Amino acid sequence: MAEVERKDIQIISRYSNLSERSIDQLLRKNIYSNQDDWSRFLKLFFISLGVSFTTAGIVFFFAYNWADLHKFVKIGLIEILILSTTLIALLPKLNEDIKNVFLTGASILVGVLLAVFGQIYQIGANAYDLFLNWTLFITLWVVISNFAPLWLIFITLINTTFILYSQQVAQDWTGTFIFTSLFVINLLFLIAALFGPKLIRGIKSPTWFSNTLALAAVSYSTIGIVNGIFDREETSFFGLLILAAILYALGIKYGLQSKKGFYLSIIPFSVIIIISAFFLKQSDAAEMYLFISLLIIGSVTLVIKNLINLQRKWNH
Amino acid sequence: MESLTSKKELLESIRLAEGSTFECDEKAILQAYHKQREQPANLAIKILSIFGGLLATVAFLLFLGLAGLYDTEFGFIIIGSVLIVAAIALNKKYDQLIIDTFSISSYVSGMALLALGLAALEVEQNLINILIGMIAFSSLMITQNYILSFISILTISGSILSLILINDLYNLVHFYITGNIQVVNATLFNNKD
Repeated sequence: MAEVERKDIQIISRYSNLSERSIDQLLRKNIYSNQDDWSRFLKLFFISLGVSFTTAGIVFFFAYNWADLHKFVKIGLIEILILSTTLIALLPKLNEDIKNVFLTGASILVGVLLAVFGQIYQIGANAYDLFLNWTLFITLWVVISNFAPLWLIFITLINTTFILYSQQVAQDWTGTFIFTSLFVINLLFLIAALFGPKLIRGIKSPTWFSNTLALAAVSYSTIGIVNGIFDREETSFFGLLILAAILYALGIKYGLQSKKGFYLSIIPFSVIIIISAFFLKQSDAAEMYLFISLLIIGSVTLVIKNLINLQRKWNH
Repeated sequence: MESLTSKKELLESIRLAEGSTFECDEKAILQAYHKQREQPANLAIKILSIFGGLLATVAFLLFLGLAGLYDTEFGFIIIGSVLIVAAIALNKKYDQLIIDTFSISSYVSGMALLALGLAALEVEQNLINILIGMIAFSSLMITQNYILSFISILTISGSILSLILINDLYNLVHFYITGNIQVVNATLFNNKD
């Protein structure tokens, strides 16, 4: 028998006299999660929740800035915690996922250590060097564990370091340059996430991970271009524009080939925002807003219509 | 989605299991499947129509503001009501994914204009909130389109929250959160899609 989905039971029960008892049986047999599913889910859920609560607790404990604690005790405590979590992650008997969750916890503790360090030696908790060190110190763990959530933390740290560096040190960088760099950084990770599993065996990259990266990259390019439109025009702006145009075209091509609607919706949406910003730059009279409002409705509708048509084609 | 033949097989197997008392409208069932296949609604499309609709709403409201319509309260109330009714009527008449962006934009602008118009007429704030909540609730009753339902539930929830905040009844926030969690639970466990 074919696989029964919830929708099937719904549609059939709507147009027939299927008894309540049979519906219940069908649901129990095919739809509801059984004991195994629940225990598998709960195992991972509780360990993740436990590790994240514990690290959050530790973060708050130190953020509270316990004045009575000597600085060696403060740093020593965190180092002991980092050591013990890392040692747990080395236990051979543990399940791979649980080890990775522990390593992720240890990576966050490294950040806590650096924040406490920054606090004790008065270099501020948001200095870019702290984030740079944090990123460098966990790099090895990230590469070894190859755990998507840990990778996401790592990439977020790289982005944060870059943004802080541009604010604190490289104040002469233009907005366009910063956004172009962020766009390229996230894009490189996205390409690695999409094509890495094909090149190297044994690497897994979940869809939510590549989608998050794609969203980050497209957001940066959109913000960068909109920023460039309203700022004075510079040569680097045209560079970003051409780069974005080429990569968007490639993204659309990839979306069409691998049947990923996500890429086919975020890229056109970014283009719609950019075009609206362009029109807004030309004039900010009242009529222009009405025009933009209609333009957005019209173009989004057009994109959705095409997406529906494509999916219909993919389904057949 | 699988082909229609496998759905027919499923129907046959149910018929076998149920025996002679089982009756069904096969044509309607196949038609429902056909409609589903012609209008596949995935998350990307839903999010796109919601964000597109909201962005267009912002531009439209800015247009009205710049065009100087903020001086005419009754104009606001009338345009707002027309937009709300138009959104609901459109959704009721054509249950098509394509008009979603337009109807969201029309619905949200309508709600915003109505609220602004009433506020400009110095109507009691509590009354405005209750009114907006009730309009959202009745549109939830009239149309079960997923996007209008989503926006209506957000509106109801928002109007309850602002009732709590306006009247300084901050302790009720706990009940408010519990209520919201119940709504989310009910939605998750009765997921129709």
